[in-house]
Amino acid sequence: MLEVKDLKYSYNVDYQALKGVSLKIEQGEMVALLGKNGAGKSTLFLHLNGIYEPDEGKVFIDGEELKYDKKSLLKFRQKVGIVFQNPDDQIFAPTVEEDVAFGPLNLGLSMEEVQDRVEEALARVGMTGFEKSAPHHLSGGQKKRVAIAGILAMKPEIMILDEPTAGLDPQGVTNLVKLLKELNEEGITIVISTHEVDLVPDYAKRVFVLVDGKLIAEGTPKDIFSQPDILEQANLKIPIVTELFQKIEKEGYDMEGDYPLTIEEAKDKFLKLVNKN
Amino acid sequence: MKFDMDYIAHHNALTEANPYFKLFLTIFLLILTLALDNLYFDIFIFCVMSIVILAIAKINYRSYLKFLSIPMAFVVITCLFLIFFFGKGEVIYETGIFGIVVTTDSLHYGVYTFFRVVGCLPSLGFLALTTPIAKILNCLSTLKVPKLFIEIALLMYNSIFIFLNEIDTMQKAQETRLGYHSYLNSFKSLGALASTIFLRSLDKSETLQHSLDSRGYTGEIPIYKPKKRGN
Repeated sequence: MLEVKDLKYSYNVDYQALKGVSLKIEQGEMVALLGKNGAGKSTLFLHLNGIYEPDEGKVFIDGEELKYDKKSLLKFRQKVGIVFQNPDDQIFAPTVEEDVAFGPLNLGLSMEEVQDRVEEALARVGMTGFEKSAPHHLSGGQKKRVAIAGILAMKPEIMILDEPTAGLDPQGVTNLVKLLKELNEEGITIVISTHEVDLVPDYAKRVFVLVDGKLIAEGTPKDIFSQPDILEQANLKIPIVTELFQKIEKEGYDMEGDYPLTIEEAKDKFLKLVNKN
Repeated sequence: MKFDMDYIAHHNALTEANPYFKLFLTIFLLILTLALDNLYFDIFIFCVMSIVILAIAKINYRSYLKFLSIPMAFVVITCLFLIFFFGKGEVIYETGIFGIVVTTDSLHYGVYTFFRVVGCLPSLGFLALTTPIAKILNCLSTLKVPKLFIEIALLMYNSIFIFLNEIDTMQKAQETRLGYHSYLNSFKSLGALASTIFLRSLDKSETLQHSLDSRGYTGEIPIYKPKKRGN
């Protein structure tokens, strides 16, 4: 559904941000893109709806090649929605409802349709009642929700989130992940970039690792987090529960090569170990 | 206490009053004050509108004073310049420095300009302090003000808050490291702050452009008409 072939992009002569990235994301997937700051995650994302035009390489959406004329761009930007890292960069209107309405109005929908979509999108992210609020009076988590509503109102097929958990408090992160999982179950393909690894196994079925503009690995969280050399290259670490069980193994408990990634898995594993001994 | 004009505009007794009425009243008063050009009328308007703002809109008097203080500072400086450096006519006072003199003409200019501003400020304040910007802009767009102006106002308004926040944070960071400890390094810190803000605003404008484009921006911000409530 979303395919990127050998994408190259330079900001200037000395600095190539993407050095040939290829990846494929299937419909209905929820995937994570891991990489440290400056690895090229945001640059890659801005290619996915045609904000940046690659120096080389192609982007395909639903098997259709991304074109850069006005009409096709509008079509693709409806299909691929990007939620920016900092909601302040995205929310510009003086009231919440006007901001959420911006996308659908640009699609040329009728006012009634837009009104319905605004209502629906705000309800979906749990921000009903804030229609008339000024965005700069909202908290960080609330702004994030409004930003997501602004994209949801365009009814995208793919939603791309650039470091969505950055700057949120723990409760905010939990709520956000819950919301994203629900949206995914409703059929929206979701791509999340992050360097907070602890939550990744919880939501992502597949993980891509981006280092210095190159994709160095892809696979299930289990695959990726069992390859220490990849994580080291990417300046990442394994989830904290996994680390705990690796340390326990060093104390002489056999893990049979299977380390838990999430709290749930860890609980089961722990009970199994306790019962065995 | 911090002065947050936008917060006041959203939370006062006249927030929900008809924005067209407020807008027209303000424009009418501004024109009237400027056209009459009468010192007594200026003071009269100042008193009446101040009472409206403080007693009817129920805006905290300290916020109101803060609102007045910033433009007032500019007005005082401007009028002093007018009195000492402009105008022709009969000389009524000689300072004896570089031949700088006050003439009847310049005194007249200075005093009248000052009172005109004094009369106009509360009229403008009435609109600015009681009406959220979203409502003013909506009004203007239904009154067929060119879209370009409204869009620029909209984007500027949004950016102002983001930058005020950034300036606030950066200034605190500088103060933490004693950036405003002496006169000399106050100047240096302020300079650094200004240039950083400028660079950052370039950055921000690019990101904003990207995010607008991502949502299908066509070069024109469409106007949203909310659903009528209560049905």
